Amino acid sequence: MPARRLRLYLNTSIVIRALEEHGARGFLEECCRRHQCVASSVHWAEPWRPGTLVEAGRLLEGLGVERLEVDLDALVVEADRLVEERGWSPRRRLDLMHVLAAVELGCHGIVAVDRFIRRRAKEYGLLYVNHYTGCP
Amino acid sequence: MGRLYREWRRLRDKAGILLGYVAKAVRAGRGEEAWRVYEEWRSGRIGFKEARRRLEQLLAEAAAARA
Repeated sequence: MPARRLRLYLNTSIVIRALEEHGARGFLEECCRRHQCVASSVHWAEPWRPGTLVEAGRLLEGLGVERLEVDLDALVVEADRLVEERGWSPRRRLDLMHVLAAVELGCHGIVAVDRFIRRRAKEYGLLYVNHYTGCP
Repeated sequence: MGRLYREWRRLRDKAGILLGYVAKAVRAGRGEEAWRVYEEWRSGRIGFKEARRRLEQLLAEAAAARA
C-alpha cells in the first residue's frame, strides 16, 4: 500500500539548500514527487537576491510546488506577538511567519534545515523533515 | 553551507528586524505603507538603515496622530 500523501510546507532554508547541494535537491525532488509540497506568499516576502529569486522560482515550478496565499498582516502581527511573549530573537519573525503559514494551510509537516523551526514544528505538532531525516 | 545560504541567513535576520516595525504599523492601522517600505528594502531599492528610518518615522507619526 502506498504511503499517505502528505501536505508539506517548504521553508526557504530547504529551497536555498536545494539550490546549492545535490543531496538536498534530490531529497526535495523525491519529497515533492511523493507528497503535496506547498509554498506561501511568505516566500515572496523573503529578501531574495534577484538572481536567487529567479533560480528559486524555477526550482519550485519544476518541482510542481503550489503557491498558496496567506494573510501576511495577520501572520506578521502574530509572529511579533510570539517573539515578544516568548523572548525569541526578533530576527526570527520571518521564520515564525513560515511556521504559522504551515499551520494555517493545514500542512502535516514542514521541510526545513533549521533548529529553531524544528522546535517550533514540534510545538505545533508538525512533522519536521529534511535531507537528513529523509522523506516521510 | 554555501554562499547563497549564508547570504540568505544574513538578509533573513534583517528582514526579521524590519518586520517588527511592520507588525507595529499594522496594529496602528498603517500596515499598507509599512509593507511598501519593506518591499522597497526587500527588492533592493533602499538600504536597511533607510528602511528602518522610514518605518520608525511612520510609527512616530502614527503615535503622534493618536496622541
